[in-house]
Amino acid sequence: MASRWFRSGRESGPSLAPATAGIAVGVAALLCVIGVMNGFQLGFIDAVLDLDSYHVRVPAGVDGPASVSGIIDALPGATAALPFVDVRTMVANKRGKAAALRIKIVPDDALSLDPALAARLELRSGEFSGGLVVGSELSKRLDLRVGDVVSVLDVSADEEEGIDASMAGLSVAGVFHCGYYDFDAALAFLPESSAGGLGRGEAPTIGIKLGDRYGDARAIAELAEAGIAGAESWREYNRAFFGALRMEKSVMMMLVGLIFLVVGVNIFHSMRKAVYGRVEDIATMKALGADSASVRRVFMLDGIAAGVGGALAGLCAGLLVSMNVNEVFSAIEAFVAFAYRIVGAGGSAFEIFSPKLFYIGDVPVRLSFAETLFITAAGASSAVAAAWAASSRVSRILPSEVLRDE
Amino acid sequence: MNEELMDESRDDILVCSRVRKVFASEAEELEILGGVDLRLGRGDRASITGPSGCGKSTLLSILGGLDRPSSGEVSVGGVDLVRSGDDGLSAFRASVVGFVFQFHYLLKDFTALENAMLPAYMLSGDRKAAVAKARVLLEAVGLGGRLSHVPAKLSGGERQRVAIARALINDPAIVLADEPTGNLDRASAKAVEDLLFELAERRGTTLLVVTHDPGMAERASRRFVLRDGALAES
Repeated sequence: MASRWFRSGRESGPSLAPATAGIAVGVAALLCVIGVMNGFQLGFIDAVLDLDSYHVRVPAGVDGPASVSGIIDALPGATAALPFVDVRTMVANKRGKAAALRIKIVPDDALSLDPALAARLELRSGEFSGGLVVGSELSKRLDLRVGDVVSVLDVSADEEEGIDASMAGLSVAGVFHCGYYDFDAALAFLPESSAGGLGRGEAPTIGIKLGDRYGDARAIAELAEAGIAGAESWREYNRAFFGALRMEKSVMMMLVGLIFLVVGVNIFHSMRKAVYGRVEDIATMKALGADSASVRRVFMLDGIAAGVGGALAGLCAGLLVSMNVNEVFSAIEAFVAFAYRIVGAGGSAFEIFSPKLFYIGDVPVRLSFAETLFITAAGASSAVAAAWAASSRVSRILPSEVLRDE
Repeated sequence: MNEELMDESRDDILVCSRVRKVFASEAEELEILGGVDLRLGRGDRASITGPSGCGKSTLLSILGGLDRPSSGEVSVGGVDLVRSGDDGLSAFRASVVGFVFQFHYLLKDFTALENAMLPAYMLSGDRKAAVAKARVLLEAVGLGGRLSHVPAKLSGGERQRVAIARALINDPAIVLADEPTGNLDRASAKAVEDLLFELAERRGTTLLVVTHDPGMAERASRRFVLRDGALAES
């Protein structure tokens, strides 16, 4: 009967349909935005960790058995351990065109030692041995091909002799592509057998990859127990970068979450109008013995129906669009191209995320269960909270005043 | 509660003692009821008359637990209305008292059957039993053929008869009627008046009617006049 009452009230009173649609749009929009943002952020984080940063780093040979075998023995959760030396330098092609480059000197069998690195590196030409393996963007910029020889600035420093700089010639053995511009343009790998004197004097580091990257704290504790000190987590040495990503995500969630606030205010006003429009009915029911809480529940049901209905509709729409975001973009591109053709303006090559501008092929989407649940619950609870606040008026309606005024 | 109120030997269903009601505004204090005393026994049929604005409806609201007195004691059906909380007053209105107002106050979206059954359904939660009781009462008030009609499809007299059925559905100890025929034409008013008094008599329900109609007031076994905030039995 309660549902009959508020359904019939909906026909004559203010409708919650726009608010329900608003919640659905808000939830769907937030899921899509966060999904795409996660896709880019987590994809980039994965690439950073797989190619360059590792999950835990340990200075090799310091304070104990910090060797690859010692680490693998000490860490049951480790999937790979790779010693490397980072050298920051300049590289120039034979015509003298130069670029800044970070060369990572790794064991010759790095790709078999670190399967995640092997999976991340797409070798477009050449092989991972016998010389420098450069990124596709650097190869393009310096016009490098497999077999070319490049000049690399080799700088070393000594306490007594100071800084010593010389040029070393290295041949290009391969060209890789990982899909992230910074790495494709400014990172190169060099098997240690081809390194010559490059990086001499630099202390090597052992990069460790874990099955679960969030198990870094436990891994560091296990390393300490095994007598391997000085370990650092990926979260520490990338703190500023990952902090910025998290802040970006929080602000985006806050901004899009304002939709829920607007919708909540809308529902609050609609519901207050509904309460005012039904003052006489409410007073009558209270005169007949209904307490405020039970009358209020009727309005709460309305808010719950709007909130949960809108949130579930938004969840379905958001998941559908997120899971098919590339198809959605393709459809939009096709539609825009069609519209251009209709007006005779050309534009068939319109692309939302042109690879020329955005350096991406597909738009990645990743949604976590917790975030999806949070967004859906936030959408639903905005309506429920608004209904709760608006229906508080019910308890202030005095039957004696309302029925006397009539 | 004072001793007079606690005296149950007289089998009173309604006892109010020195009830005052003052409406205060910034400008003035207006005393509507200035120490009203009233006792009604089980099965009494009483009427209250008086000039407009003298406080008849206010007194009825206080006796029905819709309003609270500024001071004094009120006990209806053994419930102390002065000391009961809001939930206690809601429970009292659901089970002890039945209201018939000048305007019918039926829920416009519900049928006659649903309007009549509403208090029973709210009290017990047993829809089937509430429907059965409402059906019997509506037939008793002559609306057996109009169960599925919404108020807009009923005449003024029929609406008021639905309101009477609604007031009686929980077998209240007392029915409070505030100008129950005030909005009706003469014929409908007579029919509603007859129905109200006959049903109250047949069911042994105490009836207290506030009215401007001298005929209806005369029909009551006990007649009171409210004037200048004081109630006197005539």
